[in-house]
Amino acid sequence: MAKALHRLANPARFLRIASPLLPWIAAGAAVCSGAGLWFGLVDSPPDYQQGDAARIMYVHVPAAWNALAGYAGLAIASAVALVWRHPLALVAARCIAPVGACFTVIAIATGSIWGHPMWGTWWVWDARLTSVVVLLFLYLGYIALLQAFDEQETGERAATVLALIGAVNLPVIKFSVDWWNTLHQPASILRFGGPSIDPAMLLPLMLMAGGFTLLFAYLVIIRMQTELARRRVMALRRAALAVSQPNDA
Amino acid sequence: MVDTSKTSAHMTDPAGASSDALVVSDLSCVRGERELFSGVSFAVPSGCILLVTGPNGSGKSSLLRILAGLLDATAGSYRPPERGTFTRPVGYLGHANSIKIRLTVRENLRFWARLARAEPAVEPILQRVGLGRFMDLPAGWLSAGQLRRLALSQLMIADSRLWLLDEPAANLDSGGESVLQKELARHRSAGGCAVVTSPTDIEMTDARRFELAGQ
Amino acid sequence: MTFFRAVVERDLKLYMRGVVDLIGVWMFFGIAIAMLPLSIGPDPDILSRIAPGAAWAIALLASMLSLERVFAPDQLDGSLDLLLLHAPSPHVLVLAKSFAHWLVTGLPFVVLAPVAAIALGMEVRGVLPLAGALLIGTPALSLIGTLGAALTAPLRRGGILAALIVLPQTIPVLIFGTAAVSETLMGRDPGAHFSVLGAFTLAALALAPYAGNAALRAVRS
Repeated sequence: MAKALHRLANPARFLRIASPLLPWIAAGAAVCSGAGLWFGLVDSPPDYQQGDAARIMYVHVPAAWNALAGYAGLAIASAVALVWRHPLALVAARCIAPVGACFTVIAIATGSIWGHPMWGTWWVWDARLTSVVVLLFLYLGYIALLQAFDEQETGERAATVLALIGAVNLPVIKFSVDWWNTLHQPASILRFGGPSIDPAMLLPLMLMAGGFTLLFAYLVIIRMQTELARRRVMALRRAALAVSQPNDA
Repeated sequence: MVDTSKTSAHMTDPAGASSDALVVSDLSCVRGERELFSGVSFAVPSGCILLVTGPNGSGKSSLLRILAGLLDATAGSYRPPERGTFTRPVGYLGHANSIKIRLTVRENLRFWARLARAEPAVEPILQRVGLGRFMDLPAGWLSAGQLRRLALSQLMIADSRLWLLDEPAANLDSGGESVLQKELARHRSAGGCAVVTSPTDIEMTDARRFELAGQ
Repeated sequence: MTFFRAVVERDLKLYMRGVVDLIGVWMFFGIAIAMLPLSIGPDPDILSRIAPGAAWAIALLASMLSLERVFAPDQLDGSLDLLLLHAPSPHVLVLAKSFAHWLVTGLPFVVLAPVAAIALGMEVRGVLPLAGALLIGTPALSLIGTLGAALTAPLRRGGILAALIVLPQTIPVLIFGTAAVSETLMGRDPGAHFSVLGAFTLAALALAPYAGNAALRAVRS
């Protein structure tokens, strides 16, 4: 019991550091996203080809970046958990996954909405969108495996291994999908980044990216706080049980 | 914080110095957030049987699995035996019988014998555990006690120095139990040793005892 | 090597004793292929164009059906513990399990898939590239599939979950396996695709034993 509670010591330090930061992260997310939306929706020129429809980029691109960065975070947390057996890393990994999956869904939905006026259809098997769909399946597989075990710890260890297999394979999958796409259709329709982007568009894009990243961090930290609190409750309950029913030995 | 771990060690005859086949020191095991045991230390010399008792959930099976190398201990260390004059250092008979009901009795044992490179021994050993008549029947036809005997024969054929038996008497009738006792005696007289778990203190001649108190 | 052979032979024997399940896997493949003309329509142009890809994709799905027979029964009856104790290293066990799985759900499709593709109207000169691509690519499916099987070994109904977590990982095999055939049919040199496919399988062969060991350790309790 003593050791089990001792293992919460490190997470406790995390809570001490993270909790005071949380309001600042929230404020940063709100300010960045707010400013980004104002610059993006009001104070920037419409795209010369796509008109106002292109403004959805300010949501789509940051969401897609965060979806990918989230999986990188998941993989790093999993690697830390596997190599150093750091309990906090397991908590972080399991809390990142649903948030990352949500950002992935946002990226897919906004990509589809953005594509509709241009393609005339809600979905095109474009390399970028297909990759993001695969990313969603990786997230969902991770979550499904995590939840499949009765013993939470076993599920976490299994999902950790899966996250790392996915992280090793993801570049190969991405390469395959890109290559598949060039084989079957000449070029991607959605283009952004690079020198072609107008500086007036770059500012809101960056603001939104910053805002979304802060929002991502905020959601993950809140989930981690909740998860740690839940574990604490479980540990205290178990301790109470041990006191109320002294064993017969 | 109060250390509530109540694991206690009761050893009879704590002698056995240099001939110790298995030395366990300060082993502890945490599953999930629950500590099963901590500070477990004992030594098992050659020719000795250690009977580990304790209530359900006290970690007897986990202890054996740690000793078998199937599970990582949370803390502490153990020194498994050298194989000595035996073919293998450690053999394990778990809770489950590791039997394929779609194979015959002989095929089941022959597979483990093959892994242990002891195929000629299959039939004599099946005779010894009292399954000689059932050799060519599908293992699915056996009763629970007969399956346990077959599982025991798997351990016997591997010729290991240290036997780890997780509640080996489960489902055994009195005939089966005497087979088990006889084989354990035979094993120790050959210089082997064993760790046997049991939920209750069972009759076992000349065995050391260790109690996992649980918490 | 003794261990590898013993495990493969035992697994094959067990697969054969439950051959109904295997026949089910092969039948699933046949039925799913037959469903295509029924759902898409009998237009030979469309069917012949999708034939190699359909054969590949359905073979891939079918080979996922038997994943819960790789580790789960051994985990359930305790054999997995003894196998790990007897194994010279856990990596050999993972390889043996993959190989046995490939023999019963990879190798048969090297023959079945080209037949199915012909039935859908693929040109006969696609047969060799398709069979070759399957021969090179299906080992990777079994290797990756074994990882999914290991991760879900203690679960009562882990088969679907295993397929769910394995399928996204097999996308490169599907893409390059299909492309190798369609490039040949379009009269281009498929060498590069076969090379990439082979490289992927070799990488899987090199990495899967380690990942499989980690997976088995992770779910052990």
